[in-house]
Amino acid sequence: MFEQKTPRIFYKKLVAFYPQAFREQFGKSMEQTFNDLCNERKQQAKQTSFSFLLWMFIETFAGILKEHLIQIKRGATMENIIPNQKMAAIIGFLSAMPLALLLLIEISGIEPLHGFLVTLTTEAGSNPRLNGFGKTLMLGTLLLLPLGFIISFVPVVRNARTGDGFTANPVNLLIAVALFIFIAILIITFVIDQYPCWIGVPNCD
Amino acid sequence: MITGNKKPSLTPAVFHILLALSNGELHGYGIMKQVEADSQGKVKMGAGTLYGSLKRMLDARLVKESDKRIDSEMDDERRIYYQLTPLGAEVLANELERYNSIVTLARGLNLLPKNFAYDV
Repeated sequence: MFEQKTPRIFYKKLVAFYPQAFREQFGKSMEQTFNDLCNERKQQAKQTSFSFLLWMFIETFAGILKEHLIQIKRGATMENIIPNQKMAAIIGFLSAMPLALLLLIEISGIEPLHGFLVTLTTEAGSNPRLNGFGKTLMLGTLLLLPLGFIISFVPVVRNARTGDGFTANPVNLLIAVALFIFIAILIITFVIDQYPCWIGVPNCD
Repeated sequence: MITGNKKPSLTPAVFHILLALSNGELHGYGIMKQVEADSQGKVKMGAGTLYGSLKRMLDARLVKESDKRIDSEMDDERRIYYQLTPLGAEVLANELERYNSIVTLARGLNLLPKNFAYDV
């Protein structure tokens, strides 16, 4: 047996998880319908059963997931996360910076930054390998690249879909292409570097 | 958008909502009860399915909202009523026609069970 008010409060809170547009259109009606069902139960069985509440909450939760998935399919989530195209371009650009800086320090050997970075990210010894922090840093900076590419490329795709063409956002397009080339170079370099190991060349690391 | 000419098959939820609204305007709770009655208690629709389907049906112009008003048999709260559009009625008729042709085919092939789960 449940106190009548508690499930209604929880249901109202659950409905708040629907996407905003859906909530504004149907939120009140959904609460009303839930109240109607509770009232019906109250009149018939004089209590609101746990199984009924469980079914209602799970069913509504499934509905929330479905509506969010539909929004993601339509690209509305990206619209919400990144309010404007300029912001998308800035975020896309910034996401490539950590790896670009690391590579710049590594390749150019700028001291004392290079020495500090090596000490921080590698294990001590004659054959230095990346330590835990180094691996995390490398993985994090690598993952930022595709994220930056997606963020900067979404507005380009959106414009193309609405008929404005791919070049409607030249800055976003430029950053997306640059990131794509950056990712492609990294993958190709990795493949060239590791290919001998894959074909079984001895003493390969 | 769903159009009458394309005759797409409907989801069970959409079909039952269209069927429930074929007798007149209903609010959300009323639709639930009508669906339950039409299916003799075999279909129970939750609020998530109902309003999710209604949203897509409104977008496809199969149903439309009527003015908010009080249901005198219930409480004094104002409720949104939904009603079929001509397109919705056409889509429902097409779906029933499709069901009918399937049943005719099944009858011709002697595939129909002696006792239906639903009494027809």
